[in-house]
Parts: sequence; C-alpha cells; structure tokens
Amino acid sequence: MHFTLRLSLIAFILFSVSCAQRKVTRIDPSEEIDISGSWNATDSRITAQELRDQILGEKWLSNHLSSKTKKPVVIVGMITNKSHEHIEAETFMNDLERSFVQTDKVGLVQSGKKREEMRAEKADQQTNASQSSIKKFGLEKGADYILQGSINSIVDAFKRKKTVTYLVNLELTNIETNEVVWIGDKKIAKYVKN
Amino acid sequence: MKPYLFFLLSALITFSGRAQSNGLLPDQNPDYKMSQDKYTRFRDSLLLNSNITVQDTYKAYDWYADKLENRNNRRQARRANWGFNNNWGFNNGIGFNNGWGHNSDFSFNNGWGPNNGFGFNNRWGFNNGWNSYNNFNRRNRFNPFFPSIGFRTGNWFFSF
Repeated sequence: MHFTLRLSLIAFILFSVSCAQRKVTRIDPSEEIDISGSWNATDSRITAQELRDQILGEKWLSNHLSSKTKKPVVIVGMITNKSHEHIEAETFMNDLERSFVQTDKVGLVQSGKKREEMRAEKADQQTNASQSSIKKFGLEKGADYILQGSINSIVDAFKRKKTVTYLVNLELTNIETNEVVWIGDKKIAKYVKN
Repeated sequence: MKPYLFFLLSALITFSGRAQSNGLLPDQNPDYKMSQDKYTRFRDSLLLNSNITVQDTYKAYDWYADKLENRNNRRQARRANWGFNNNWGFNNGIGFNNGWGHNSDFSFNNGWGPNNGFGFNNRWGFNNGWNSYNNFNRRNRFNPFFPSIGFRTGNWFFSF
C-alpha cells in the first residue's frame, strides 16, 4: 500500500477513535438507576412518596379539622442538610407541596424569597396598577403550621465497601402554640461496593 | 356549695374582665410584648433561610473516594508543574538554580513540593545533576562557608 494512503488510514482510525460519540437516551424518570451510590432522583422520589403518605394520612389533620372548621394552612420553613452530600430538599418538598394543593386537604402559603417577590409585586401595584385591580397589603393568609426539617447521613466505609444511611426528618409545628403535631421520617440505607 | 360556685364565677368574671381590659387573651402571657418586639425587629434576618435548604454538610471518611481524589490531585499537580519542574526546564538538573550555589535545597521547586523531589530526573533520584545523590549532604547544601566548587559534565556535577 502506498505510504501516504497507509498514513491517512491510520490518521483516520485515530481520529475516529478519539472522537468517540457521546450517546444520550431518554429514560423513564421513575426508573431506578444507581450509578455512584450518592443521593439521586430515585431517593428523592421515594422520600417524597413516603412523606406525602405520612403527612396526609396521620391524625394531626383530623384533629385540626375537628377543632377548627377550616382546613389547616401550612408554610414551609427551613430544611437543613447535615449530611455528607449536597442534597437539595426542594426536589422532594415540591412533591409534598403539590400533594397539599392537589388533594385540597391542606392549605399552603408562600414563604421565603417567593413571598418577598410577591410582596414586592404588591408594592409595585400600589403605584402602577389600576385602582380596581390593586391587591391590598395586610390580607395574606396566616399559616397555622410550619413545616421544618433536616437531612442527616451516617457513613461507614472501609476500603472499597461503604454503607450510607440517609435520614430525612420533617416536623410540623403549630405556630401559635409551638406544639409539634406531626413528625415524619424516611430512612434510606445503601450498600456500595466499588 | 352555692356560695363557693358564686365566688368562683365572680372571680372568673373579674379576672377575665381585667385580662380583656389589658388587651390580653385568656391565659396569655402579660409580657408577650417583649418577645413580640424582639422578634419583629429581627424577623427579616431570621426568615432569610425560610423555604431554603441550608447546606451544612460534612466530609465523611471514605477510603476509596479519598484515594481517587488524591490520585486526581497528584495528576493535576503533575500537569501544572510540567515544564517548570522537570529535567528540561527551570530549577532542575540542567537549567539554572540547580545546585550551583543557593536556591538549591530549601527553595522553590527543589525537592519538597509535589512531583519534584522523589522521582526520576530530579534531585533525589537518578540523573539529577547531583551524581545520583541527594541534596542533604553538607557538601551540596548551600552554605556560605562551604561553597560548591567543581565542574559539570552534562548532567553530572563533580564537586570538591
């Protein structure tokens, strides 16, 4: 074979090997795929399901409805991640909030930055909106309960073996009385072998 | 029995009347205003983390992850030092500042940093400009009273 042809063939092979194509496939979000053993979407989903069932199925709700005529109003407070990984609680808290709205058993009010934005919008309306459409200050619904929580983890590792236990804990507290009316938790344990 | 009941009832009415006249609800702490004022003052900062995941993570001991991290760090350091700290660049066996006087033992890039002290083509290994010996013998170490005098042939330095 001609030398130049041979050289160009080698160059082409090298080029094609070095430019290995990345393959991306859509998967079902409910599919369980564990790659590194870290906290992942499956853990978030399992936690959300479990906590949702617990919070809507326990007696604090019936107790509230029996003592007061209106459905309880909940505000989401601070969630502290004290585990060894970066975990965003919003991934499962959003599912929980959605279940409140969808079931219509629990009222939900905004908190944090979203509430700040809302108030800023209201303030803006005071000078820019037409008089008939201005939303007034001081008419927000006050929450009866605050939902707070924490994420903890326990890691036991030696050489290539590791066990990780995640503990997600949520508490619902009566804002007026400070009484904790519900505590929900979800434990996820994993065994990872590298 | 009746007088007792009457006394109890009248006392209750009196106390509730007093409480309502002070703007207090039944059983409400009369000093509630102190707390209310305190928390009203700081509410913005106290609610800063509301509806937010505060990341207070810790580093767990993980032998395998640490091993991979260390390996990665070593590779990055090697890449970063390449060209500076090898046998063909600055501060090594062939360039300057390489055992000819000061700046040879305890200075920059000469035996105590990453990738420069204990391998091939450096001060502590073989073919390193110091006759395959180290920098810690008195003769080679910088000392104003014992200057390194000698001659060099290629990578080999012969001192007296």
